[in-house]
Amino acid sequence: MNPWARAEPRPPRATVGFLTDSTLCIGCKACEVACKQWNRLPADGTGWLGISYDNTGHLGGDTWRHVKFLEQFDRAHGEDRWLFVSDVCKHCEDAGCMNVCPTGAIVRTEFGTVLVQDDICNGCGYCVGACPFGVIARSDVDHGAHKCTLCYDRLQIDEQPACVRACPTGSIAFGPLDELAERGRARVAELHRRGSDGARLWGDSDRLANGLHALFVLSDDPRRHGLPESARTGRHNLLPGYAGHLAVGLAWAALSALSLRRGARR
Amino acid sequence: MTTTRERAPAERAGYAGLPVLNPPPWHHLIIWYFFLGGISGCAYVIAALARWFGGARGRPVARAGHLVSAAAIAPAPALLILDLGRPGRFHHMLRVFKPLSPMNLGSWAFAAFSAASALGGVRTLAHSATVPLPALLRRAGRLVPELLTLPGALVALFFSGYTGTLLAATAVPLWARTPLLGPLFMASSAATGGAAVRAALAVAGEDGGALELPERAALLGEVAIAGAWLRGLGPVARRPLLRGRERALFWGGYVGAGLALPLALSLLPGTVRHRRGLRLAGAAATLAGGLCLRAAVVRGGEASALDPEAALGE
Repeated sequence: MNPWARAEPRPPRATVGFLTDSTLCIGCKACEVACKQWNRLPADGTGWLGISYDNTGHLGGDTWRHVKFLEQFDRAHGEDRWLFVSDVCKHCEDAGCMNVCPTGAIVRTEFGTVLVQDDICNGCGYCVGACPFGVIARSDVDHGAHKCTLCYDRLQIDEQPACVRACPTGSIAFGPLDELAERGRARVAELHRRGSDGARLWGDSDRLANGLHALFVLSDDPRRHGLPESARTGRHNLLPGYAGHLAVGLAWAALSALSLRRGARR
Repeated sequence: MTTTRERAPAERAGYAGLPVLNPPPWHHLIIWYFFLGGISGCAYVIAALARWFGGARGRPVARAGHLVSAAAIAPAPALLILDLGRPGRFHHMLRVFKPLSPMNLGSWAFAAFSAASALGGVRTLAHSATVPLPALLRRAGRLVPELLTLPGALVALFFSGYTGTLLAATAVPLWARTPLLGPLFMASSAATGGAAVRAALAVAGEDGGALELPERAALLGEVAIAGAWLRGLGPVARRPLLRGRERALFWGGYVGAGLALPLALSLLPGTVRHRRGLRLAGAAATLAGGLCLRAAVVRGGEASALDPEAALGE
């Protein structure tokens, strides 16, 4: 057996993703439950957060889909409304978690998705702070980092992700990424025609980690959903950070050498 | 009982005021690793420079530098491994070479540097006639080649500051909004490494005067870099340090004890400054400041990640 042998990468397949249309979501959380069942994740419990009827709160190591409830009943203007959006890993084009992963546990798959290989992850937690959307987290159960796999196992047999299958309203769509973006733009145009001026597609901008593989149709400012308008990973800090640190270090070393040589002569 | 008036959920930043980012789930052991690693790296560089440029008067400096470096790096493996979720897999850090990940690059640098630092320490002990050492270890220590010091010192310079860039490569606003944490940690490591070697020399009754100037320069460098860093962060991202949870550590521990006090002591006339008590006091202040800086930055980063306004404000 050759310990240095590398497996052949799998041949690339069509790049796929999610389109989550919040205007169709009824907040049933079937996607959350289906995700937990298929991926055998422990339940979150049913305690209340004290801020919302949402009792999940946030994505985490054991929660890979999360339906957010935006209860907008205290707005000074506009009609009262209750918005729902099922949040999920964005499978970023420039994936912060994958960039920083020191073990190579996080990889890009043949479907263009970002996957944590659990048998490699050593639970260092670096990816957790590197995600610009607060998605990936370390599980308290097995102490490894976890997030949505976009049902990598189901994709192998041409089956759709569990959350998509479970969604009763068609709010979560799955398919080739370019088709989803087109569909999202058409949906936003339709919503505008119907008078929902606030509707927008979020996720296909280069300013969001070079583009996302999970797109969202939203009816309000993305920041109200806890989603930034722009997000970049920390990789742009590497070169200036190292260059600055080495410049400071070399200047100090040169000064130290001069000072020590002067001490030797005295 | 009075309750604070809470803003309605729709008025809070982000999703009902809940955090947008996740802070890294590190224990605070990482603070000690950052602190000791910086001291160890720069003490090694000082030892190398004292050997090459210091002549006969540099010899005690080189000895102290090697011993301080080896002693400071000794607890580092435990500090790093205990911080992992799955400590048994620590060696997975070295299953790939991936410069894009500062933690991977740092793991390689740590592996190389800790070996160089330990060998430097053993070599120093082996060449010191007064230290009792098993004969076999003494003979082995004398086999460590002098030439090792050059690559060792180069890796040490990288190792002394990469931890700042490791933090700057995340999405945490306090760490990543500017690339200046790397230079700041490097300058702080230079000051603390120098202070540790100076303290060791003071205890041994040797002369550490040549290390005063570079330490003062490093402290002044820190003042400049920290100022630029805080300005670049903007009012929201720097909040945890200046006004928030970590303000005591930052203002009192870092700025007061770690920068102002040693710089003030360095203004005293040489005859006063060179009393052993004051030499030790100045070095201790610089060291405490380096620890407080790292503690304030790591803990402040947690607060920064949990602040939805900082995360969404860009």
